[in-house]
Amino acid sequence: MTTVITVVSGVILAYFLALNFIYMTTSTLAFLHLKKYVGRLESLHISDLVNAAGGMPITLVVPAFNEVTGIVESVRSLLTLQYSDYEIIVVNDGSTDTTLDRLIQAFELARAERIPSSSLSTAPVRAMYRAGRHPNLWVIDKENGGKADSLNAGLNHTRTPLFCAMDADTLLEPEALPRLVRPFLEDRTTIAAGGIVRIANGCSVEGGIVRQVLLPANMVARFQVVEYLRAFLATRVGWDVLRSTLIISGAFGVFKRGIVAQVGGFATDTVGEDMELVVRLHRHCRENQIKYRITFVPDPVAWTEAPEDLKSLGRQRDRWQRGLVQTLWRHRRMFGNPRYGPPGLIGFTYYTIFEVVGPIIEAFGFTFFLWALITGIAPISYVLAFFALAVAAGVALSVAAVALEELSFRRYTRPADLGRMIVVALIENFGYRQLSTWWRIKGIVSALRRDHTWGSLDRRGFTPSVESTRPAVIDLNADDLRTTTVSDQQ
Amino acid sequence: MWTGGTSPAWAASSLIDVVLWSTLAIVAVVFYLAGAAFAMRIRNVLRARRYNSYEASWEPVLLDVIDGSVALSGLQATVTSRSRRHFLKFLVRYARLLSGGDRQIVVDLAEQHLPMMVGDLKARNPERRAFAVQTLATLGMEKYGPAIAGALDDASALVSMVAARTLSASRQPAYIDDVLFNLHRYARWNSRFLSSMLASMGSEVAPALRSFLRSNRDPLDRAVAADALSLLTDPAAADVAAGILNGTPDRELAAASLRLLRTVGGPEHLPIVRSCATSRDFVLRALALRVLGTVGEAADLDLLEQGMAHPEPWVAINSAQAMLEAGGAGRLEAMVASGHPLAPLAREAIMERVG
Repeated sequence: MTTVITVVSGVILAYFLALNFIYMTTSTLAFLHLKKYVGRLESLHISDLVNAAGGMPITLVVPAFNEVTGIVESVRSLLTLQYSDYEIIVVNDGSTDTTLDRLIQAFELARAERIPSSSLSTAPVRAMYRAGRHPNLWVIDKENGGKADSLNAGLNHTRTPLFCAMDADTLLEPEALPRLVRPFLEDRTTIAAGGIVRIANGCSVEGGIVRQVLLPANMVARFQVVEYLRAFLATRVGWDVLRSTLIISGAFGVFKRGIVAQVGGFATDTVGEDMELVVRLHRHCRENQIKYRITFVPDPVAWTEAPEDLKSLGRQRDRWQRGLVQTLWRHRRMFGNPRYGPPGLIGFTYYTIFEVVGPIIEAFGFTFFLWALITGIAPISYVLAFFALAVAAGVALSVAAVALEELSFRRYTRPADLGRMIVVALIENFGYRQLSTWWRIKGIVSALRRDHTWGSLDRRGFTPSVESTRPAVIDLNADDLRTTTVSDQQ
Repeated sequence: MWTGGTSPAWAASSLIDVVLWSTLAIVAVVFYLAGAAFAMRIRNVLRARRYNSYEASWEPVLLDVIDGSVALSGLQATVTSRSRRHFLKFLVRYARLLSGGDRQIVVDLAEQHLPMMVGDLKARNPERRAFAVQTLATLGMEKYGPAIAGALDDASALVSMVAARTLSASRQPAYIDDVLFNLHRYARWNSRFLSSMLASMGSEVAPALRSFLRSNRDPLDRAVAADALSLLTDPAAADVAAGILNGTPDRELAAASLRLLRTVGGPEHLPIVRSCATSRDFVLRALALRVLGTVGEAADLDLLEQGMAHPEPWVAINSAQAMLEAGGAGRLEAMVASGHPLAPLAREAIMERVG
């Protein structure tokens, strides 16, 4: 039995050390990159880019399902963004409440015509509206088809070279858009860029703008603050350095319209449409030998409201994990495949081995050591040593993320907040982390059961569509038309 | 129970050693990181306090200097060698907000500190060099223009681009040849941004852009020059664009030439534009049809109506817009009134004009 325990413990330990080695590597790369990046920002006046005639026109596509309570404020906030040339398309996804009526009333919407620029398959569009006082605001009223379907409907009516996919309840910082468009200006091969998503819970918000950044009082939300810092600053920045960005958050990402339409838009048969699109873009470009760049930018900020109860959070995490599994399975050809460069060799392999299999091994480890302890097969000191290692590694990663925040953007300025975040980094390992593992395992099981629902109580409430997407063949270079043609119409 | 054979026991004990040592190492890392986070916080708070106190003392004096009640030296006296770098940052902020004589006062205040920035142009760190270029351009373009132009050749593309941007934004046409010479270094940048940057130097740079457009440089760079000439509405460039359309196989350059003709072309360019309007490349076709909207004749309305029926949406949309520009509003209204299959497109074009 000792042999079995030793072998199993050894395997768990090796896996665990490998995982933490990767985390530490991405954190170190993130540290080096952020240090340089912050220096670069010093030589850049973002207002120059905002005011530059060469700033790229962009369309914000905002899917809305039963958002009556916040939609008007969200749109008002979007209308105040600092950007020279942008349109907003709100897609009312067959809301059963009065979302559309509120929009019509608040923005004096009138029926209008707008010929689609691509032909992605979506649920039927009932009508198009345009705001009287804000000619850059459009509303598409369509039958319910889910978030991805709504994004596709918005994409079909997008006339700008870029579009921003976002959630109706996301608050963008006034400078977020020019900051996220910057990679498209600096590198014409950029086809997608994601910004950082931060937790708005606890912050003071006025007129759709986060005025004061504070840690939430609610512990579930507070755990997520540190978790988001870890995910975005310590992980995504590192993956970006390795050219292996596989996820751009659905709450805030900018894409080149032409190529997204070319690959068929957002997939409507997965709950992880954001990651699936990014992976499909990698695959498309690699298979067709198109020079491209997909990047993560750490300074454009979108604020989102995080779930404050475990039930909602569990559903969210279940859905994320399902989306991850569905995407990795759909594109399994990329796994460890050198043809797909760093995204296939490094990113895809990591996500498969450590993000999908990881929770299973972690849960197995917990169960195994608990069993060994209860049955007395392993001494308590042995089990405690392993547990201490797991806790120490978890704390190290979270503290590294907090340190990266302090190095770079320092949003949480209250002196006590830094200490609180370090405390959260410690206590999240006792309960919260195990719950997260459980939700992720549930997500894997749901994915295996081919469950495509978003969860009935989810705030966004998008229901799935099993309609397949038909690739609309729009040449990438059609975007060049926008330079002097479509933009002149506005 | 924990006493199997010698080998497994040894392995278990070794495993425990690995676990314990790993834990200790990680705990050390945790303490280091937490300490670093707190140290950074303390440093940042102290630095912010120091900067705030500098600015609190400088700001009222600067306002007095600007309204003439205090001499320049009154503010200069408050700047120490330690605060000089931050003083320049402070002045940059004001220089960007002010204009005319008020701005000149800020520039005069900066003058004695700028040699420090010239030294920074040789710093090892490219971000620092870029910052120096930015500061020199904002506060001392007249005197340090040649030094900034020298930064166009910097080994770092970032520094070179900052130099090009600042020279352009400060309307320094004397440096157009230097910027154009380095244009290939910015090949990754978005062409729309680059053309806008060149155009911001002003119409004095048009001859240089024209000659660059005529040259045999990289077609992508020439396309940038063509778009800059469009932005400058340079009529003399129209013949160059037409000449390019007659011979270039490069799609980007041809597209930029069509955009240029749309801005400055005339009836004499119609033959080449019409030939592009039937191109199999839908981008060129759409652009050429759009050019017909501004330089075309009544006879071209049929071609535009055909374009509206094109299966490619971009061709159809551009044809409808061009129809409106070419004086074909009556045709569009007739389409709407008769319930023509193209009525929705016609209606959208008409509404866009009203909007």
